[in-house]
Amino acid sequence: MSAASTVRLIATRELRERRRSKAFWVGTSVLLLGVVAAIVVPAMLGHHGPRTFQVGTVGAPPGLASSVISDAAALGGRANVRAIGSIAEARSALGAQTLDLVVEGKTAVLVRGQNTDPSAAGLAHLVARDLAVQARLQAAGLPAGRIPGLVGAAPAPVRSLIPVSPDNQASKAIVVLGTIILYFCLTAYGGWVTSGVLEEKSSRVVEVILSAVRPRALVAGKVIGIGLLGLGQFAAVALAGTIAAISVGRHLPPSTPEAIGVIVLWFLLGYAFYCSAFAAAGAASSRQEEAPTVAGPLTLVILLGYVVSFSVLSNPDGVLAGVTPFVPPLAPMVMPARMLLGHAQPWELPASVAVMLVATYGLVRLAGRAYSGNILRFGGRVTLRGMLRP
Amino acid sequence: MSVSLLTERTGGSPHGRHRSGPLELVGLRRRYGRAVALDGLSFTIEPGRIFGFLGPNGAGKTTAMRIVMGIQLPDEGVVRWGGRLLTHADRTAFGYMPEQRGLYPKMRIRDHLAYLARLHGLTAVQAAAACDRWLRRLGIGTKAYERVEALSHGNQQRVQLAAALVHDPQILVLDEPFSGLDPLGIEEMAGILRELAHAGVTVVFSSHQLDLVEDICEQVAIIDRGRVVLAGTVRALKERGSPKLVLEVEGAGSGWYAGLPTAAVERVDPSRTRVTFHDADPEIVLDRARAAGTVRRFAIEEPSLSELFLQAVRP
Repeated sequence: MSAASTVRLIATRELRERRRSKAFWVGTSVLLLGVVAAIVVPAMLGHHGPRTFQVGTVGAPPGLASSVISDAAALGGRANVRAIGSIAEARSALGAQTLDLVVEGKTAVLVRGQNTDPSAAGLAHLVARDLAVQARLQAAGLPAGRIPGLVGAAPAPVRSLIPVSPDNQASKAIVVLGTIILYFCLTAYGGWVTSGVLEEKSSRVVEVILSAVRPRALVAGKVIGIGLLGLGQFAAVALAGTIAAISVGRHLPPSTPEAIGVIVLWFLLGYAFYCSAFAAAGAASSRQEEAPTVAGPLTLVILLGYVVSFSVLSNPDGVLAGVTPFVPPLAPMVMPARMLLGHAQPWELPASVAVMLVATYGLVRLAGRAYSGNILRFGGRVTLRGMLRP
Repeated sequence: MSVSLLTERTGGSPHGRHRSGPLELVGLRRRYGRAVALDGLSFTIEPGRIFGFLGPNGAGKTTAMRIVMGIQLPDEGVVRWGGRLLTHADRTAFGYMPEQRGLYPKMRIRDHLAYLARLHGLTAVQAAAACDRWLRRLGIGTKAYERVEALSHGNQQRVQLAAALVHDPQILVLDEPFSGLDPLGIEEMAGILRELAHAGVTVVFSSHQLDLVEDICEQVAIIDRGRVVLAGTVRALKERGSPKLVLEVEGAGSGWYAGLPTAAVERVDPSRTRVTFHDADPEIVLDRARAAGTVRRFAIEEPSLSELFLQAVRP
């Protein structure tokens, strides 16, 4: 029998037996619910349309209301300005979140401080500036009737070099969600590979299997089977996420399929890189309790990539973002963000993939040796040197 | 399990690769760190026989069997089949039951056996037919859709044997197949092995219980510390060894056998003693015994395999 058909048989068994397990369906359901919730819940709780600021005034100068309204309009919102009887009353309304800010007399603006949202804080600064200008104009002897017209003038527009459009905001959300899913998938499927290898070792069935097939065919079949199941799960998640996003009226940018494609590409590269090491970790353990400890360093490295991806997201042109695409253990978590936010140079993708493939080849060789050397070795302490002994 | 294994044999191996001839282990050496498991092990297994690969625990039996199955590599030495080096592809015609039994605990038995059959090169249709045939023959046809972990110990043993047989191997390699079996189980297993050998399968099994299996083997190799100490047909080995003389004498003093080559003396009851001799002249012994008391038993026995083994390894 050819090596390819042996691998296919092993992968098929892996797929079929896992599809029959309850754990697989529980895990898939949790993942699907999590993704749908991440899309639907913010949409239900979130604000739709322009924001309306609740502004209270206590003894404010006349005409302030109109300048507050034009300030709010500059921030893309509306303002509802009410005169409040006393300072105490205004402060308690502010504390109870029925007001966003309070104008006290002619000189002070009060915000909540803690939990003030950034747009309310921005409005507070504009209003504070208005108060100061109004006081200066009054001191300069301008007639009171002209002041509101001057102060209430609409501010000059602020434009963005890279416009903040619904498209690129949604893209960023997709990158964030995609990176989370990528992290989850790499660690979860890596864990499956470890526990699958260990299950074969601890149940001792591995000796029967290895009397018929070569170790590398067994590992290849296992990781391909789990990888295919993972891709299927990923497709279900992408589909459920897309349907959820459309049904709650989320804006999907035209680049969504590209984003999914990029995440799938880096899932495949990352899985190919890590799976053999996860298999070696399973072979090096003797008992189910040992496996998390042996595989621990691998999940930590993936976690590190996840953390770095957020720093790349906030600073896509930083040194970290420029270097990490060429560090194979981190690249799968970092490159989707860098590519999808449009900061990767055209040569970066092929170069990063090439480095990744070379590193994967090396790791597969090393991990394959560790697997073959340990799969029939029972008991004893796990050491790195012992793992790599042929 | 009284159904004959021969009645339904489908005829021919599914592997399309019929190689006959002896299986030869030639100069196998294997070390684990500083421990020597195999120290130049060589012997030949004739086709279509039941071959006992015997020796105490730690003699190197499992290592040798794993090398035959290609699961481990020797540091030195080769395995030949029919005069040519044994290859990975040849081993699809081998069946193996490792010392450490084990199957996928959550798999259904029929699926499991079909999977193993297909790994050995059978098509899906052939595999399904072979599963049904072997499950029925081993008396576990009704358990086909149960999970391995749900079976009793005895039935798990049967499935494990089916796992080694499902692809109708030409060579069957069993590591300690009798360990953990009760006397009925041993008889059942021996019956199956005999039928397989009769049908032309070469059966190689290991055991550390030499006397338990001496009636089952046609040929043996007895090893100690990685080397063969005795090899040949059981008949020839026994004939070559010196026979034992066993007497039970009643009412005799303890000194009657003084000066004779005794191997063992035990008191059967207060007045009767059983004495075993090696290399003694039966007539002299009998005369001395009759002079001393009443002879209740007099027998000339062949040495057991374990006695032959002890004679061979003792300096």
